[in-house]
Amino acid sequence: MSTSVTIYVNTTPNTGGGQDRASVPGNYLGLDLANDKFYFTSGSSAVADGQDEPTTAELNEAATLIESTAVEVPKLIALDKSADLLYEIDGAGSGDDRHVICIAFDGATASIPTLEAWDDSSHSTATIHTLGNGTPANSWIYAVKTTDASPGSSWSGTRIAGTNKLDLDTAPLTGAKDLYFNIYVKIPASYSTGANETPVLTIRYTYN
Amino acid sequence: MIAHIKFADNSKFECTMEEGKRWSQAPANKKIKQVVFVLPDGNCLVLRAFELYNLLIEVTQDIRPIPKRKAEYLYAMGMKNNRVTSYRISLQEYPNSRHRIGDFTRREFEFGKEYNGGSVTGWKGVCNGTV
Repeated sequence: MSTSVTIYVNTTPNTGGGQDRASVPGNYLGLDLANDKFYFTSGSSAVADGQDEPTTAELNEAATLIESTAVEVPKLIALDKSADLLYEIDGAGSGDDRHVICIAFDGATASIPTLEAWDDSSHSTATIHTLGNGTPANSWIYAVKTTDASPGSSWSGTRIAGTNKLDLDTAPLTGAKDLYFNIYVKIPASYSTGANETPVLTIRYTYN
Repeated sequence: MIAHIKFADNSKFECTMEEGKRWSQAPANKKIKQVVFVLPDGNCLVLRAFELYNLLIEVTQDIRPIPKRKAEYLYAMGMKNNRVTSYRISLQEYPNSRHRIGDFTRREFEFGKEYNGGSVTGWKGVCNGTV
């Protein structure tokens, strides 16, 4: 069999040491990659933990406003499509949170797995505003590997877009292993263009 | 079958994706005479006269509703004198890409920097008496 991955999110505010998936599996929701999705949002009464799938109008009302200073989008919310239920990922953000998003590999890899961000599933361009409008170093998406340690408060990590990618470990995996990362979106100050964009987050790895 | 290894002692190993026949499960301490890689279009790529050989499958898994996990590329590699010759074979086609399924790109790297500037595992063969 080939190596495959399952993605889990910690749906509780408990993200420190000892809060990994192996220790507290009940804190984690496995994503159905055919149906589930993430929302980076300011939230609202309709776009909140425990609510059902929001409409487009509800998502627009919960959008983050552009301000005169850079603003971190306050919330990451996961939609469990099968249950029609939203879960706020409390630990997602620039705080000192370690066990937030878990990438569970069921076997070895031949190279270090990476987290990437692209315009779409062709993984060929990264030109939308969220990904730096053609300059990967200006990506709004910040990610940090937390497999081995907490990221510290106010972390900046790696701005992922296109070939600006995040290594999820320090060496190829020798067997099944859970890798962790944290993530947030920060909108630049006074950005001149509002947008409703859907960048694609991708896990890339090799096996043999 | 995606690769056929012929060892110097004339033994063989047919590599598929089935358990027990994966590339990573091929004998690791035997000199290799040649490796025949079967391409998606049915043609073959033959590598011989290298010290070490490798086969990788690169996969992407998007965190979003559809598509499913995709095998993007197959890499057939040979190493000699600390130089890696890498053939990257396309397994997907995209509207804005010039590559078609089965197209391959030949590149060379310093050994240890053959994939994204770093090394990969799974080398087979004999290099100066060791692997």
